[in-house]
This record gives sequence, C-alpha cells and structure tokens, in this order.
Amino acid sequence: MTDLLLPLLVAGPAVGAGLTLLVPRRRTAVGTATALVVLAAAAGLLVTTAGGGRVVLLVGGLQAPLGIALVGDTVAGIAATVSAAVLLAVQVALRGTPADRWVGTRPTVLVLTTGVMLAFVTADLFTLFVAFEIVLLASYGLLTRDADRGGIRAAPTYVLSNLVASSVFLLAVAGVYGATGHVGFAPVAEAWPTVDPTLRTVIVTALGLVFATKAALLPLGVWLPAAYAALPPVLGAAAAALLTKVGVVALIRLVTVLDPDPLATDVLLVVAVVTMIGGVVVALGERSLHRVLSAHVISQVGFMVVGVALVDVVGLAATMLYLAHHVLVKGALLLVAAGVVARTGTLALRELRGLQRSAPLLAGLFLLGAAALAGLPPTSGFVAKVALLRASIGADAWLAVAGMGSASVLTLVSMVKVHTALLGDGHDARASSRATGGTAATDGARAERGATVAAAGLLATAVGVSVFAGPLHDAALRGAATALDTPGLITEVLS
Amino acid sequence: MTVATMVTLATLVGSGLWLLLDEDRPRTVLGAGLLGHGAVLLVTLQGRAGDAPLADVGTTTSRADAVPQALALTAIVIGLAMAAYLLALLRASEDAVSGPDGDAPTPAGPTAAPAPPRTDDPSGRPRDGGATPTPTEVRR
Repeated sequence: MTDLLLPLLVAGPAVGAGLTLLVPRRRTAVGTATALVVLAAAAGLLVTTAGGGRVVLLVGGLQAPLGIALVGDTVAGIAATVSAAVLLAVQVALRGTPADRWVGTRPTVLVLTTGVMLAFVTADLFTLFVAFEIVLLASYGLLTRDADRGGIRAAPTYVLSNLVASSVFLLAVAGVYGATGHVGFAPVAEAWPTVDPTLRTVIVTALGLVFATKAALLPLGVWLPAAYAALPPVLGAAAAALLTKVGVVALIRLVTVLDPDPLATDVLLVVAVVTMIGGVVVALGERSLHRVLSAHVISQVGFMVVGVALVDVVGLAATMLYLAHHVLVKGALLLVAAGVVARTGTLALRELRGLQRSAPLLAGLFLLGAAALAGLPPTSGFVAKVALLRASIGADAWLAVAGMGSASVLTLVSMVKVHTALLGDGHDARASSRATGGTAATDGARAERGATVAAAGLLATAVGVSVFAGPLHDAALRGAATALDTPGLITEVLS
Repeated sequence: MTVATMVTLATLVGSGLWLLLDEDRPRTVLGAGLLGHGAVLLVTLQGRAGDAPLADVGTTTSRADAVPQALALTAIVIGLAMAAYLLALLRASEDAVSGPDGDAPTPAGPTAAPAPPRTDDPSGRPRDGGATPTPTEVRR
C-alpha cells in the first residue's frame, strides 16, 4: 500500500498541472491543494522509511530487470518532504505577484516538481535522464517567460550547458548499458564488479561531471547565478530550493550504486571545498539581495557534497540534514526577497536602507534565515554544520573541516553585510511605489502578505528541524545506512 | 560495431563539439543537436543486433535487443523538443538584445515608442517599414 506513495509523488504534481490549466480561474486553489497532496505523500514516504528500509514499486508490475523500478528511501523521503514544503510555500506566495498573471506559471512549477520528485525516487539511470529533462524544460519555461527581465539573455548559456550535460549523460547511459546490459540501479550494481575497471572509471567520471553540472559545483556551476537572478524572486525560491538538489541526490545515488574508487571521491571532496568557498566569494561581490542569495546556493551545495564525498553513513546522514536545512532556509530567504520586491519594487541592497524600520517583520524573518544560513546556534544551520563537521573529522577530512570553517565565516560576513544594508534611516521606497494606488498596490500588498506567510512557514519548519534534530539525525543515519546498502537494494528490487 | 558506424559516431560527436564552440548561436544549436544524435547513435549501438524486435519475426534469440531502441526513441523525442525550444529561444533572445535597450539610438518621435513585439511578425522587419534595419536584421 505504501508503495503507492511513489507514483502519487510523481504523478500528483503532473495531474495538478493539468487541472490548473483546465480551471485557470481557480489556479491558486488547485495549485495549493496539489502542493498539499504532494506534501502529504512526501511526508508519508518519510514516515514510512524513517526506520530504515525502502519502499519498492515495479512500475506496471514488470519484473525488475525488464521494468522500471521506483525506490523510496529516507534520502528520497527527506528530500521530497522539504521540496514539497517549498512547493507549497511558493504556491502560497505566488498570489498577487506579477509572475502569477501568466496562467502557465503555476502549472510549470508543478511540472518542475514532477521532474524533481521523479529524480528523487527513480532507481533507473534512464528514468533519471528523463526526470532531468522534465526539470530542465520546466525551468527553461520559467526562465524565459519574462523576456524583459534579462532571463532571455541568461537563458542560452543555461540551456546550452545543460544540453551538453544531457548529451554526456546519454553517452554514459549507453556505456552503462553496453557494459552491464541494464540501466536499472539494482541490476547495474549487481553486474558492476565484473565490468572492466577502465570503463568503470570513464563512466563514473562522465556521470560525475553531469551530476556536478546539475548540482552547480564549481567550475561547472557558472550557469547558476545569472539564471537564478533572471527569475522573479518567488520562482527563484522554487529554483534555488529544488534544482540543484536533484544533482546532489543524483550524486548520492552515483556514489552508493556505482562504488567509485577512492581517488574519484577525493576529487569530489576537493571540488566541494572549492565550491563552498568560491560560492561565498561570488556572493560577497554581489550587490542585490537575490543575487547574493543565489550565489550562496553554490556555496551550500559544496557543503552538501562534502558529506557525499565522504561515502560513509555519518557523512551521508549529515548531507541529508544539511539538505533539509538548506532547502527550507534558502526557500524562506528568497521568499523574503519576494516580499521585499512586492513592497519596495527593488532588490538592490543600496536602495533597501531603512527596511528594518519600515518592514520589521520581513527584516526579522531575513535575520532569522540569515543566522540559519551562516550556521549560528541554535538554528538548523548550526545543527547541520555540526553534523557535517563531525563526519569530516571522523573521516580525517581536514581539508573539508578547514573549508567549512572559512566558508562559514565568509557566509556570516556576507549575511552581516546584507543585514547592515537593511538598517539605518533610509527613505521607504515603498511609500513612493505604493502611493500610486490602484490594483497594483493591492496586488503588491497581497503578494507581500503571501510571501511573508510562506517564508514564516518555511522558517518555522526549519526551526522544527533544529528542535527535532535528534530524531531526524537518527532517521538520516538509518536512511544513509540503507542508501549505502547496495546488496540490500539488489535483493529487494530483483527478487 | 563496424568501422562505418564508428566513423559516423566520431563525426557526429566531433563536429557537434566543434560547432558548440562557435560564436554564432544558431551554429551552437546545430552543434548541440549533432552531439545529441551522436549520443543516441551510441545508445542504439549497444545490445544485440538482429531481426526486428516484433513478436512474429524471428526467434527469441535472433531478435535485436529492443531496450536500446526504446531508449534511443525517447532520447530523440526529447532532443527534438529541446532543439525546437532552443531555436525559439535564440530568436527571442536576439529580439531582446536588439530590442529597446540594445538598439542603435533612434530619433525621438512616434517610432521611439515601445517597439511592437516582433515575435508575431513573420517577416522579422519593423512594421512601419520606414526605419533602417538593425545589424541583426541585416545578418538574417
């Protein structure tokens, strides 16, 4: 019975997208209801798998090497739950924003979610490829919808780099099929030890490059800041919270299923450290709120991948904790940015002076999110970073420890810089933009309210993560053990 | 894998990469397409060759492996959609670049008002027909 949660997770948003198009007048209600269903399914998966173990569904009842297997474990459960929470928040926050004037925005976000959820629960390389394409096509749509926002100009780089990654992915899939005769994780893992070591290295490297591009690891993540900055902040919240996480989860599948040799994971660790520091350095140079936040996504992915590169139970569990924290907090911060845009019409840090006084609630939410992003105790960021640090120390990965230390300090500096910009006695830019009155003003007020509520909800969930850090970490530990237990996957799927 | 298919594969991937590095955007689309087709060809070449994988043709052992064909078919469909999208995107992106802020300064007056959206004008020329074509239009 619980295995039906998997198709619900994937097909739910797809059906929701269709319904939203059928009844465009009710798209807020339909979109929000769909998000609730997806959230319930994801939470159900998390609860079912929290004790360790997997939920396996063979699509169409076809036996394993022939059919497509969907596998839900705690890794998928945690990732899906926080993603669904962001989906819900975005559906709430979209109300009244300029982005919501296009009928297609909500369906496109839902289609994006379909791809993301499919990528989380698939146990098949080719289905993963298809999931990536769904995610990409939906994100292209969102990115290029508002031509005057510069999205069109950012798009070709983004599309081309992802298109090349897709082709390399397909080449690697061909290699895997040629070497093992399968594309499903379980049968591939079973045949993997008999494959020629050189071919194995080539395939793992190709897949690693692809997933690193999707996860926006430096230097392959150069597409990210321009692309995210071109999105309206509400949609930026969806993109920042969901897109790169698909790459991270794919990397987790890669290291657990294809058992890369230690050299490969060492390279991954170095890349992760470079990414976490490089991302913050980029962020420090940015001058507008959502660009700063987008650049921090890169840095945060670096943190997550450290845990993946350690390839042990403690490291993977820390990654999952970090992923949960990051998706919630990053989503919340970008929704705060959406609220700021609705209020003031700008995101340039220079023009946001005085926000602390004129919009204390938004500024307060930002402060809370910024503290979590920097990892100050007792926020969820602190919990996640401590878990990651303990894992790195336990694995003698001192480079990662040093990298995390410096990246955290720089993150704090960056967040202080942004917050300082909100202080002081600026004129309230909103006063001028709202004074024009009319429907634009009510829409703005509605959008600001929606964004505030959504951001507060996500931050409350993030607080929940830090309050229930103990049980969550235990669940993540059991989930990581399950994810690393490839022989278990083989028996469960193939028998 | 025969020599011919290997040469084809190398040509597709090689020229695809070459075109991808080109400065001219339409050529990069072509390059992405060729690269994709190279990948599809490699997928098709995996698995056993033989009779058409239909129930009433040949025997179980003489039929070709159908899985790579199914994978290739899916990949071709996705690739075609992507190529179409990319071309539309390039068109829109050129319009955005040569649009209001990318244009050569035009004299103030009725023509300086927000330019009419060119996307629904198949000729690609300004509707009033009076203005001199921008460099982009000359290239087209």
